[in-house]
Amino acid sequence: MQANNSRRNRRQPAIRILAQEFGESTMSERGPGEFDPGFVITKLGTRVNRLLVAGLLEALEQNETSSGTMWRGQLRDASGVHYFSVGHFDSEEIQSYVEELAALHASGDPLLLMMVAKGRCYTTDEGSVYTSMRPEEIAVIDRARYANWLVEVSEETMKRITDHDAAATLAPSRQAYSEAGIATNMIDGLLTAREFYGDIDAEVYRLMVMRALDIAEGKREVSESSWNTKPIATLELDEAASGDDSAGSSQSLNETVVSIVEQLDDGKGVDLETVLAACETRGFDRESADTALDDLVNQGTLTEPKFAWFKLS
Amino acid sequence: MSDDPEMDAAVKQVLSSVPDADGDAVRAEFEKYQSEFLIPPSDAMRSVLRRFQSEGSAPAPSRDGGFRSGTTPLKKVNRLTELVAEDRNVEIIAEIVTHNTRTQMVRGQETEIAFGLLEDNPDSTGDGKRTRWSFKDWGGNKNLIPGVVVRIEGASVNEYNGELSLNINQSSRVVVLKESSTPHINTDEPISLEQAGKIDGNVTVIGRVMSLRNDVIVKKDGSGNLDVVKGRLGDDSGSLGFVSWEPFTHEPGTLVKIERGQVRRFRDNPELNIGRYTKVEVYHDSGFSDIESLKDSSRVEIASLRDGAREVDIVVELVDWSSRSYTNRDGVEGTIWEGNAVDPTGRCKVSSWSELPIDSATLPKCVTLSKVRIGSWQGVPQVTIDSPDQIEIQDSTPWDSIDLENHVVDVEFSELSSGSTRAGIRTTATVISVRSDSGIILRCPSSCRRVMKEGSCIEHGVVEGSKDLRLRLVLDDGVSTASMFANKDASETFLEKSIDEIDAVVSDKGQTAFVSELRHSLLGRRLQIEGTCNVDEQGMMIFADLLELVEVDAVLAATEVRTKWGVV
Repeated sequence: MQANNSRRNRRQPAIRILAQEFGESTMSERGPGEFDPGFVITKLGTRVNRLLVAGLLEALEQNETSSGTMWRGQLRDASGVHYFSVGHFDSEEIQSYVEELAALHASGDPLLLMMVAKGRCYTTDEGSVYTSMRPEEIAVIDRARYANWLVEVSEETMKRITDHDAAATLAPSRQAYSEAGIATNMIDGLLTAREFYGDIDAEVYRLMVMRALDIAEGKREVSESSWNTKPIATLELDEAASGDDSAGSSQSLNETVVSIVEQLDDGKGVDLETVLAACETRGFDRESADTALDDLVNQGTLTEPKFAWFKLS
Repeated sequence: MSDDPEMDAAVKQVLSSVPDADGDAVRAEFEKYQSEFLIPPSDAMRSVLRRFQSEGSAPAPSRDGGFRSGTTPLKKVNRLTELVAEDRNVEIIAEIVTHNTRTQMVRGQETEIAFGLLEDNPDSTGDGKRTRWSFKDWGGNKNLIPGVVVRIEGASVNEYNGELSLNINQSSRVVVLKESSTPHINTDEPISLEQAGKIDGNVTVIGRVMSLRNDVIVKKDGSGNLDVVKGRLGDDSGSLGFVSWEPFTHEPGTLVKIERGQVRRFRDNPELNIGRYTKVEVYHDSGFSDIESLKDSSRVEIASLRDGAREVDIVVELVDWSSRSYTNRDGVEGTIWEGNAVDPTGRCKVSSWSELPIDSATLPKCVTLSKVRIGSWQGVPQVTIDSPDQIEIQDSTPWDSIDLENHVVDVEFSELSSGSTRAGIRTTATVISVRSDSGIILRCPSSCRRVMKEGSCIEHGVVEGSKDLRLRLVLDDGVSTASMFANKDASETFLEKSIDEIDAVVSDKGQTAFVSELRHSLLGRRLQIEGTCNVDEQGMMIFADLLELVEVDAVLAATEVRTKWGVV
């Protein structure tokens, strides 16, 4: 029994993961024992307890809360943004380091960071689920190390996509997965993810990897046509430009959805996933965005020319 | 303006938002992000914007970063009768009465659902009455077995035809408060012997009886002897020793199915225990490997030796051989023979309690060792020979020459973690952590050599410590992890600084700054290490003799990934 317990509580490996895959997760699980590690389960079936991430420090702000100083930050990689927080429950070392980082960030100089962190999911009052990270160790890195990380994360993600796609064609059982040669460490997560998320299309993650590799290679021409965050960045910018009305999120969800569809439509409409992802980056949860889409189609503001593709009427 | 439309667009967007900004400065900023940090203009947008907005006194819009908090309030109850139909996030302590599984179609997929009955008030407090509800477990909780008392957190109430039941959801947490007193019968499907050897607990296996012998276990309390049967089972994945506490009558060569056997460990060596509740029956499978081919494949290599294993057959190349005398506790003198051996998977020590027909002048020589015992020294397995008839000297060596002086074996990092303790390995992994206690330490000057904390040794109190240097890292490959230690010599070589130079840096800048700098240079880097790898219940430890950073060309590596995974 002793052996069993310590075996279970061995250090968890750091999953190399891009912000998009991690950020889209809405499910977590925890083992039965008091000290069992918790995991965020991504749509690709990755069980994430600890992560190895990297990217540009995009925001780092200090908040005073009832339980002391809390640092909240955002780290942008080739696919999207990670959210992290550091508070009084973290080590002195990391707290003082984050304070140092905040000073550097405030100077406006770009900071590329690598971070080993613990991941978690939390649910808001409205029932939306978000992910965030608690950094354990942070290092300032250079372009070369970021490029190497991008390559490593791309390869790891491709392994997961391949396992995910293989699993999707099989009966959902441990035995079937194991016989098909799916990596042992992936099987539990894939089974859980399949039950929770249902069938998902991994193509969006393949595009994400493509962009990460483009950036690692120092070329990004390909990304312009095949990637969709650029228009989303445009949206954010418009919001910032009209940011005089102090609360940027005052724009209603419906207006947001319409403007997303308007801006992203290059003739054939915009697919559901893109709209939901875009809403998400603007702080709306996917479920209400989905509902808003339905409402807008019913009102006649939007049309759905084919299933799960949307256009302005 | 330039031949980069994305850049042009990005600059324009910043200017439209911050009209006072200098277009060239904005462009230069984007170019810096792109060239120095590999951040494309679209990704750098927020950061660049922030900079120019703050420069031109306009207040940066504070944006809700998507941070929310709070959950459905917890409803903690003692009795099921306190619950109503809409309750979510319920916490209750209950005893599981029955537990069954069935396969159900959920959204077109076959899903295994567990259901059963549970009762509240497991301690029968108060009026001593218990309420019984049915429950469904959507979370596949393995610890829900009949008779167990659990605390269920995050359950919800389900109403169907006016009857309430409890749903244990995927996000619910089940904590076992009291183990079941009735024996739980594990009826899992058979697993390979290799898999069985990696777990503790109940298993079902199919294997061929490879060897058998009767043995007697003398009870420690002197209350008598126990007759047992010991032996080995083999299948294509490997072999596993077993001990039967019940009469075992199947001859070597018989294929058997063993249900509800129990894998327990003697030191590091797994052993299948056959007891009163275990069912052993003859199994028929004409495709199963016969005893001869299994015998060939069950011959072990140095890499697969485990402390505590017995009856091991192994072929090694003996490198050296010498004797030394010792005096035991009772003052009796004796002689022990020792040497080093290698095979293509690694190296180990061999010792013998009796003189063997080995002429050290003729070494290296290949030898076949049969039915030897495996012990360990500082965690590294070594072979013990008890009598001369266990060794057979071979004329030829079944492998190409091994560099006996520097015999280092390249092993994949993931393979190390599932193997045993090994010396002389080389592997590569990524630095995930630089421990804060890396650097200069003080050791207790007595023979205990413990690392002192705040000027005192836990054993010897306040002493004048002796200065030492070490590195403590955590390495990982995304699947397995290892703690890595480097001693003074290895650290000095790796850091290209002497212990005194490092001491000077630490005294000058402080320990935190020293570790922080080290972390900046190492975190996320690939590291190749040579040394000894030690695997036990706590996980893997590597004692590195040689550390080297691996330079990776990202563009080449990216091309490889594209080709390998078809990302084009």
